[in-house]
Amino acid sequence: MQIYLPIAEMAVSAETIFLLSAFVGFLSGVFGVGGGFLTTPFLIFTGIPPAVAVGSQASQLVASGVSGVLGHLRRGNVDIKIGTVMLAGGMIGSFFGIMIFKLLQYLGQIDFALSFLYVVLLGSVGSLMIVESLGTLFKRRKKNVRSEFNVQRVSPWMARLPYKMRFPRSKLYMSALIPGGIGFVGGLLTAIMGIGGGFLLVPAMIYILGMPILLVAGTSLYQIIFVTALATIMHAVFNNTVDIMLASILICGSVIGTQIGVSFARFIKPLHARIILAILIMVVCIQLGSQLFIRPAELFSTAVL
Amino acid sequence: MLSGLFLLLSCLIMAVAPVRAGAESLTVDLAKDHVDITTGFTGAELVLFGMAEEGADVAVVIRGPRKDVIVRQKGRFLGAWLNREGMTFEDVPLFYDYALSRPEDEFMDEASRHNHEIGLSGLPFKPQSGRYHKEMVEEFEKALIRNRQAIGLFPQEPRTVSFLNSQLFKVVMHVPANVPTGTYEIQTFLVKGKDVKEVRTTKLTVAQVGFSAGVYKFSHSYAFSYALLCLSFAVFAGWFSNRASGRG
Repeated sequence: MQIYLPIAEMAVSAETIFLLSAFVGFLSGVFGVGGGFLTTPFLIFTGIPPAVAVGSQASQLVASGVSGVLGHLRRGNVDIKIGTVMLAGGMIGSFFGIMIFKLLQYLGQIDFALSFLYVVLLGSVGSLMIVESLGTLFKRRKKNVRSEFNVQRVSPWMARLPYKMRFPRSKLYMSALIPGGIGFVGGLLTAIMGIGGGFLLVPAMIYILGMPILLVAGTSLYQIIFVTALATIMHAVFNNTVDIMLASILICGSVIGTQIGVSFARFIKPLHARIILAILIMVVCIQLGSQLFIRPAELFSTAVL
Repeated sequence: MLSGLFLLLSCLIMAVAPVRAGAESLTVDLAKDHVDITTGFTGAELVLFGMAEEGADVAVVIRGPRKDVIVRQKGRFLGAWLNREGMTFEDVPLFYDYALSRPEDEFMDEASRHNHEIGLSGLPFKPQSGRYHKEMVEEFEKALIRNRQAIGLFPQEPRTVSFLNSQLFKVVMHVPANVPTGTYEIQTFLVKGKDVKEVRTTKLTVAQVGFSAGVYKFSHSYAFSYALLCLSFAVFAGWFSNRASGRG
């Protein structure tokens, strides 16, 4: 069924978008990732203008974030204080992200920049995941219990940063600039790429902040919700690029897909799930990357100003 | 069906009151003077009827609203393909289509077709600044036409003006689902030999109507409330999803 998107001003196949978001929702259910990294490139591939894809996807990320964070909140696995500091950074980051997005559009480099950023991010995260999962696969059960108290030492230059704060829930004492900076990068990525950035925030919170693993997922979702909500508002107000029809299809698809994914997750081992996810990430990365380096059939493109 | 009725009606009128040649040698009318874009819009057919003096040729040109467009050329940079060159053309019609009553190479001559902007090669593309080589402008013009053809907003070849009898003619054009909104201008030329004898201009409005028009207007006039509406739907859906999965 063709459906006309009032903001994108074009007709798309509703089934295609719905199936895609259901599939991505399924992955979120199984792997616990947001899935923006799959949806946004696909929407652009179907011919939806990158600005509308990123803007509408941001509101879908709010929905999947809310759905995920409620459980963590009930169990008390959210460090509100450190999350709020990250959030402050994230808001500044998404503001800059929107500006950078507009600048790239003006320069005519938005498609290239998006593909390039996706290739770099997906490539590095995907290959790290593959290396780590294969490592675990081959020496399984040597150390499957990880200490909850992280003994990671912050590097000396980080220790010298000003504005020190105490984060009792995570048992951390550090400069507010560190979580703020991580949030800033997350906000930039949300606004430019239409992703929540969980796959970058989570490792950063574990390895750079040294937060307890238990609190990481909930806290990152907490900050992602507000940053994606702000990105939605800014895309809607400054660029008029949030398409409510597109967003509704994306949200409905992902809600249904997530339900199926969650029940399916019981039948799959977490390690296997991680390997499959890593392979999937690498496939998207290689697909996008090859498009950058293979000579395109049509060298010219036209945009209405 | 409606257009069929219209046709029948026009034939009847013609039979009752034969047109006096000379008094009005060209009459045209659109079966419908507006294209309504609704949520289920997948494109539309435009039907134009007209009466022309016997033995004359007819050309019909339809132009969408004009805007500046930029054509960009990809080039290799450190192994990757990215946009290197750009050329802005002013006031390019965002939609163009045309129909002729005989094959293009037999219709008038090239110069006269160009004068009246009949046919793609006759469209005047004006680069914003004049500092480009002629060959480069031509290359970018061709690319612009190719790009617009690829998304169905410029024609691959002319459509036909079909004569139903010696005077009554009919033109059917199709606008795709991605048709730009705005006011369209339809020009009908009555041609004898290589001279244009008469021109009739008709307007066509392409606009979103109903629900999608409402959404578009609301999102532009009340952008902040629109954003909050999107967000509240998202938050509700997320809450509902959490409830349904029993993840709590």
